[in-house]
Amino acid sequence: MKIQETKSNDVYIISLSGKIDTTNYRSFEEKIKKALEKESRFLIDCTNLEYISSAGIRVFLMALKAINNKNGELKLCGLREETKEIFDLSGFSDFFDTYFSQDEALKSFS
Amino acid sequence: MTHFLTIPEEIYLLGLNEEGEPLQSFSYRRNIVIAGAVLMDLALQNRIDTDIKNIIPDNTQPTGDYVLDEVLNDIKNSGKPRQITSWLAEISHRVPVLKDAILTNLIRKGVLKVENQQVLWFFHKRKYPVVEDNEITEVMERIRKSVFSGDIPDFRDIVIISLIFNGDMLELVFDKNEIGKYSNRIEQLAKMDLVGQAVSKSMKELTLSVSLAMKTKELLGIKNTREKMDELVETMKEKLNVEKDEDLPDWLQKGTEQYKKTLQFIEETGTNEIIYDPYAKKYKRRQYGYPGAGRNFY
Repeated sequence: MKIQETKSNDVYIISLSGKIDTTNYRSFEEKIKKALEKESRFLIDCTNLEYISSAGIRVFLMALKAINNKNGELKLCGLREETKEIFDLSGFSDFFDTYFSQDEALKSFS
Repeated sequence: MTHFLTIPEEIYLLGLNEEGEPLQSFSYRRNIVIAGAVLMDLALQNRIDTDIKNIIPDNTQPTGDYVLDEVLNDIKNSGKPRQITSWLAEISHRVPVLKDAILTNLIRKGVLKVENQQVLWFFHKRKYPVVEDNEITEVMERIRKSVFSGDIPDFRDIVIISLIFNGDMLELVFDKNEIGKYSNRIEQLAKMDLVGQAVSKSMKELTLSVSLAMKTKELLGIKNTREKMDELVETMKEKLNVEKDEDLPDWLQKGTEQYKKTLQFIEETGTNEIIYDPYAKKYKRRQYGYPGAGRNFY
């Protein structure tokens, strides 16, 4: 898995590529936790995310919980069919605002 | 973060009454739900991973808990991803044995204690009453708070909610009004764990197979030992022209030592076409047209 971090205005963008599973979810988790020390508005770009397991899903949940506690925002964009399926099946789609593209998502931030 | 109780232990405790006895209403679901609890605990401890369909072995270092490590060993030896429902079926068959280890742990942790009780005159019963109900109360309060608060719960609480929802155990934690009022919230949280969803699927399959088995029994006229005994008693009441149970001979009268032996004989032979010779003190299979050479075998 590759993780790219950028910023657009005051939205912290994390772009994920490859797979997130139990072998690498910790690096994703650490990035989020570190970013949370300073940031409160997050966009996770899943355009190149090919696969996610329960271990990866739990990081998303942890992030959402932590960001909500800071009264921040967390949005997702670019979910592929395969990854969207697991988000829909687990009901995670109900908890996240998801967008087709990064541009669309960035425009939605308050 | 380590927890005092494992998830199987928390689920097991939820399914006990105050005397430490398993709730009858929970009995047929217990094995699958506890199997799900084992898998979920292993997932939370990063020993396995799951996706939509499969359990994937990962870090196979022992957890230090006998129940979890027994199952982890099997998953490790399988070496490859396998369907969640398949693992649930396999582990649920082992729960009657794993249950003893869960009990032992709960006793060792001081949550349950052992009491020997003479329940009826012919057998002793071992009971495991709760020492203090702090742990059960803590689990229940945590789960209730997670549902009522509207916040995103910790994942450990999500998996327990998922188990009790998909295992049809909500009434152990919530009353009917609460279940009605918070049904959407409970369902939303319960969906969030994929093992819990597999528990639900396995439960439906189990319920279907139990219904089919009962229907098959009914169609084929298959009776269990108790049913055969009842049938024999009714037949003999008619033959002997007896209305009350206390007027029946010992070997047909409930509560007597001889009645117990009759049940045993039916169990061993598989038939209730039997008679008892009180003189020889022996049971025999009934031979039609041969009442017993003049002696009263009843």
